[in-house]
Amino acid sequence: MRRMILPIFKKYKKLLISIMLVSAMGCGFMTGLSASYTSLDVSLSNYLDEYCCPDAVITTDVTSRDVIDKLKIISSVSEINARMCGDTYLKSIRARYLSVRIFSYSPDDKQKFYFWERRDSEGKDEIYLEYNFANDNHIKAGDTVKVKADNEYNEYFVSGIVSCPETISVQPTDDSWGVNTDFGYAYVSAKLISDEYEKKYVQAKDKLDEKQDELDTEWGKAEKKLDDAETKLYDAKQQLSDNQKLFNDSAAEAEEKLEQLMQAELELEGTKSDILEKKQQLIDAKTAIKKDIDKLVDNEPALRKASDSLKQTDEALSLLESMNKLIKDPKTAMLMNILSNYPDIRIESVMNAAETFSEYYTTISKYGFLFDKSRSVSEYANKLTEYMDQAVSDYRYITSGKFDDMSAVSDSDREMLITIMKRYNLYNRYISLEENYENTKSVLSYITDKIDEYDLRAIVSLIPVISSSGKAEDVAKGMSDIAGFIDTLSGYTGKSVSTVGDIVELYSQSASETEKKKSELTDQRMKIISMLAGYGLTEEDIRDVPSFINTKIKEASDGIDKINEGIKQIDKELPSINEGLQNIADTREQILSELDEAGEKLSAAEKEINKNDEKFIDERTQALSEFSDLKEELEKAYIKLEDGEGFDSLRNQFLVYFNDGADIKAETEKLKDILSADDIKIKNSYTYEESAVKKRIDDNLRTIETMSVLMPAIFFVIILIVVFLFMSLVIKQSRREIGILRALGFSKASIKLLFCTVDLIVSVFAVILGTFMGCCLMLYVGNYYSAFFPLPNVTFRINIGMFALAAILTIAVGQISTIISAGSTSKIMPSEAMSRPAPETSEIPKFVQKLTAKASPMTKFSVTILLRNKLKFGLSVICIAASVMMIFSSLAFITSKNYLLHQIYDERIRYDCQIFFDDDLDEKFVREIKGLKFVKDVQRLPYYRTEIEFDGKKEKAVINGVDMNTELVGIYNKNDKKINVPKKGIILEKHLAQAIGANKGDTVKIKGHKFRIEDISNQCVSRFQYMSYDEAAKLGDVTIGSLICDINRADEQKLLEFLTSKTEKNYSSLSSENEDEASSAPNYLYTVFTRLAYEGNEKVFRTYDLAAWIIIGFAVVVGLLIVINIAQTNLLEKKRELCVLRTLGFQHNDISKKWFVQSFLQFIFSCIIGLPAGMLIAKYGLEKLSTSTREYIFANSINEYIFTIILVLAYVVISHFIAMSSMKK
Amino acid sequence: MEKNFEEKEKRVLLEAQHLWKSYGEGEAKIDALADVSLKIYEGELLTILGSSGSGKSTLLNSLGAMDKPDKGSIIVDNQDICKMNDRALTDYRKKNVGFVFQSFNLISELTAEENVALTARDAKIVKKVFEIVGLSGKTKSYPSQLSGGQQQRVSIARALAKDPKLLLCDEPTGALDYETGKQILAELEKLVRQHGRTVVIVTHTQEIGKMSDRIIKMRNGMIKSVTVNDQPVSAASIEW
Repeated sequence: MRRMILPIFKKYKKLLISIMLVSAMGCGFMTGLSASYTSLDVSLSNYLDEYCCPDAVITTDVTSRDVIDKLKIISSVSEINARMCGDTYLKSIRARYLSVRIFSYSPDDKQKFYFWERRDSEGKDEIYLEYNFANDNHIKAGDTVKVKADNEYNEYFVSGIVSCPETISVQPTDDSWGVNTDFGYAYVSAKLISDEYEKKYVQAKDKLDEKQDELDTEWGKAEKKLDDAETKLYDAKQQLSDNQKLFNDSAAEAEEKLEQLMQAELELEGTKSDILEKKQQLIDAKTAIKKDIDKLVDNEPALRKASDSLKQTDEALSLLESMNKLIKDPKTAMLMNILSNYPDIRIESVMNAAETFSEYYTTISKYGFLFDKSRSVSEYANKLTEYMDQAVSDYRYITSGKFDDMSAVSDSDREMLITIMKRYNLYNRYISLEENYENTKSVLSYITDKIDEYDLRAIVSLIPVISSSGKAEDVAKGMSDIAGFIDTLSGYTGKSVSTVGDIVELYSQSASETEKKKSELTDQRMKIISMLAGYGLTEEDIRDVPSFINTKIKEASDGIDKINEGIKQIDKELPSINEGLQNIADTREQILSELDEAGEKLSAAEKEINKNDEKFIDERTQALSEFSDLKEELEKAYIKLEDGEGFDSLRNQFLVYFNDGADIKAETEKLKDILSADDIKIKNSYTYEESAVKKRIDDNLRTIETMSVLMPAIFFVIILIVVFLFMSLVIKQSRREIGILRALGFSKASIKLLFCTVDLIVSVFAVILGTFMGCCLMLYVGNYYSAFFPLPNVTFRINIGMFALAAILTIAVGQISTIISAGSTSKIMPSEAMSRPAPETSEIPKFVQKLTAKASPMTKFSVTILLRNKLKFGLSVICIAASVMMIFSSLAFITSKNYLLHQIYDERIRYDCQIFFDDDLDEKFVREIKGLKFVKDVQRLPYYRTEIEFDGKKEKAVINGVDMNTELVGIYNKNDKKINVPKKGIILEKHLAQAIGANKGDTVKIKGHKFRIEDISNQCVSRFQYMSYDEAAKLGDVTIGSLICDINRADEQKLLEFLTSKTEKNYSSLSSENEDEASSAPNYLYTVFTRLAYEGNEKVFRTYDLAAWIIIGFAVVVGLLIVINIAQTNLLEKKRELCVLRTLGFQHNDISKKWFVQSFLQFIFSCIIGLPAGMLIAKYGLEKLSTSTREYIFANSINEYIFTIILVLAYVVISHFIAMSSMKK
Repeated sequence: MEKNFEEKEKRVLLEAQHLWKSYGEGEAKIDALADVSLKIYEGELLTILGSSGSGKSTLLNSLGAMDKPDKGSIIVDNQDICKMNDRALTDYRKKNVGFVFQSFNLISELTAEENVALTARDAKIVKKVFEIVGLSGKTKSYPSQLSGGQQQRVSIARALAKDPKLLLCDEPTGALDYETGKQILAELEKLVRQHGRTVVIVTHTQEIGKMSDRIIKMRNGMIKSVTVNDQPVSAASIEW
């Protein structure tokens, strides 16, 4: 059977070579791409290893060798280096100001460089610039650059262009919308920084210590001062508070008092008013009295008369009345009865008795020794009688002569005499008895005489009669009454009476007459009274007219006096009331004034305290400010320690290298703990795994890995189809041989084995060739990667595994295709296999029939053959479609890339350079630049870095303020239509709008202002939002200012010179006297030449172009091979028929034209499938290549379609003619 | 070898029973074989005659296990080859049957020797069969360098190289000129008469039947007659 192998090779050499080539390509792509990825991966790790990318970086406030030594003790640590890094500006000879991050390095560090270029520095201060940065900015080794440090630019000699781990795969991948990180990296000898830094560090540290001490002392003082002031203030405040309390109490009291005063005042006012009223009344009364008196005086005679009459009448009446009374009185009757018993008693005696009795009564009352007043009258009378008898008896005893001679008086008589004398209270032992006796005798003589003189015994017997009450005084009165009666009776009657008998008689006679007389007199009296009444007078009034009048006058006078007195009193009272009122007012005034005074005092005290408080605050502020100044100074000292001096925000970093196998994260944490324990502030730290470098590398590697897998996968699918197709052609054409072999007794398996062997041989060659191609590809792609990352060199590493896999896959694809193809053919019985295969007679679709109804029989024949070989047709279509897909996607990629460049540098950036400043520029400066002859156009382009908020979602964003009529900035919407910047509102970038979910017409919030989204822009690079200047001004201070200029390239230098002069002026003016000028002029930072950026980008893109054209070439070659082979196969299969046609007289050209229908239909169907597939592949690929700040937009102009169609059509036509020409023979 | 052939003369090598084979479907259905039964004896030269489309080639293919009848059985060594699987059939073909085709069916990319060697167990046999067919001097020639007769001889040599029990020849002279055809027939005759092989020749040339031991005539897929030729003539003597 093996004898068959060579014949098969001979017979199908073209097809088998095609298979080999296609397989080799697939294998080559796979091995090449995977190997280049592996090489890149290995090279990267080697590079990172060799150039010692640290395992961890710890940024601290200070670094020192002591610390390094301390940290080195940790067993897991292999090496620790310290370095400093900071951001600054670098100015090259082309006067470009570039952002750059400076790292320090020292020769003994593990930090090594790969030098792309190196020059001898000849002892100058050296700087190494990162390859990409130097390359992009046209800086070469040997150039001199100026690096900004402390607002001064120091010259450095660029002695090396280096590649370093930090800068591997630097891509603009800042996440915030619209920010291109445009940092460069540079290295300066650690000695240059660290010597000075260390000196400054020591100085700063000394200063810091000194300051710290000073601060401590000052703070102590300030604290004490503050404490004292505070205590004082506290006391004062306490005092004030007490006073305030007191004042409040006093005020309350005063208020109460005032209230009372007011009450009193009111009362006094009332009284005053009453008094005044009363006074008026009194004055009125006085007038009335005077008037009455006058009237009375006028009527005096008449009144006198009336008065006399009435007096007389009354007297008469009174007499009568008395008489009558007397008469009618039972007592009188009784008296008369009694008196009738003593008719001989003279009235005179009675009268005397009465008088005497009265006197006697008076006397005994006076002396009181006779009887007890309380005794009854009868007892008294009895006693009196007894006493009178006693007195008479005693008198008689003492006058009996016994005592004429005192010396002869017996003792008993003496005793008796003394008893008598004692009886009458006349005994006085100091006076001689004779004298006492004489006195007693005279007294008793008097008493005895009086008894006799007044018939006292008879009168005393009357006593019980005249006094029913039995009281002595009544007796006296009764005696007087009797006397009065008698007197009256006698007076009335006018008759002389001498004895009691006369009185009794008179009494009995006059009883009846009195009544009569009384009646007459009463009438008369009534008349007088009624007459008086007519004058308004009573009988009392006129009883004694003059007296009455006088009384009246006196009364009136008294009244007037009283009134006057009252008035006087009132007049007297008024001043006191007034005085009282005045007093009240005064008191009130006083209270208020006291209150005011107290208030004022309090307020003064408060003011004083406040003043003290202020003073205290001032003192405190001052103390604190002094302290704060010190603290600030200390802080500054710290800052200086932290940041070093020289470059802005210089950071200290420890670069740590751990031993293999160490748990880097955990060990880093340990180191951090040690540093923290040493009072070293950790600002941040990251391990290599967490580092941006690693992330960037991983991101890029992942993309490359994806492409390295995806591309071969696509190729292998295509190759599978192509190999299957080709192998089926080979096997189909070997049908007869298979039949013969089968007839000769060869098994199906042996036949399969035969073809598998053939394919294996082809595949082995394909693998060899593919591996070679792969290696070439690896070298090419690897070198491309090395420039892309950039890596100084690529360690090409053939991944045996991947090569084996590629070889296995290549062989497997061939074997599978062969087994499938041979399987079906070898199934046929040998007799059938050897005979001509039965022609396909399946039905042709009706629409095809309709379409070809009017076509020539030859065309119909051609189409029929095509349609009846569906599998072959389908496979051809798929192969050509794959070719179309590859060509179209590659072209689309080139176009998209060109579109991106066009978008960036022709549409969006229409200016030649952009100059950055640290602040916005004023119109004057802009005009000044615009006024330069060589400047065609210029405008401001301020940047505002901020946040945009919509519906609760926030995103960072950069907003550009632009001239509304800008021609220098192109803004396009998603339909690629240019948008004008609106006067109000904002143009939002598509991705940002998607991120916050906002649409056109919505309102977003920026820094508290609301802006309407006027349009959504489509940007390939960056993510800028646009606003008019006026709108943007609402956002406050700019983050960075810039100018965009349209100038001729030749004039760039002039512009730079101008800007440099301005810059230097600005910097020099910073220290000049004209501070306004210095502060108003923003600092010129750096310039970006868009054309240079374009050239740089184009350089990168050219490599993309090459890759795309390789793919197109591959696609064309594969397509051509396929189409030629299929066409030839078809022709061979129908050789007999075609020859028949030729024998029938058809010209070769006629047959060729008609036969082309098949190729053309394949081409049409391939395009229908291939173009959309190509579009999808291109979109997918572009999406993969896009980053957050550089988006490859799928740009599909009609040109790609036309070019693809023409290219494919061309090779279809060419292959057709090649096939036909072979048939011509 | 001659003696052996004689001894085996009466022994049935193959027996086909009620073979049916049709092509196409429906109205277009053609019975290529319709209930065909026959026996082939060892060492006989059997000629199957019939016009084009009579089913003779189909019968031959079926007997050579190059095609499978729809129905019926072909018994060889007490085994029905119609019931054999592909592997057994291939084995049957390889061990028992040699084919000579009208169009030779040589592999043009192989030399005559290589073509023969495809089926030969060793080089000696190749040499021998080339001697048998009288083409020893042309072993290195490619088919395209040989005449039709020579190609047919190579074809016969290839068939003989595996020492088949049965040599099936489908129009062996069909593609050859008269003289060459006669030579090929002589070769076949020689194989039967001298080497004791069993040869079945399918042809539409009546005269060839004269050289065979039996003649089967077919028409429309059926055997119309089987004639035993007691006195077969030599191939050289027949004319057509």
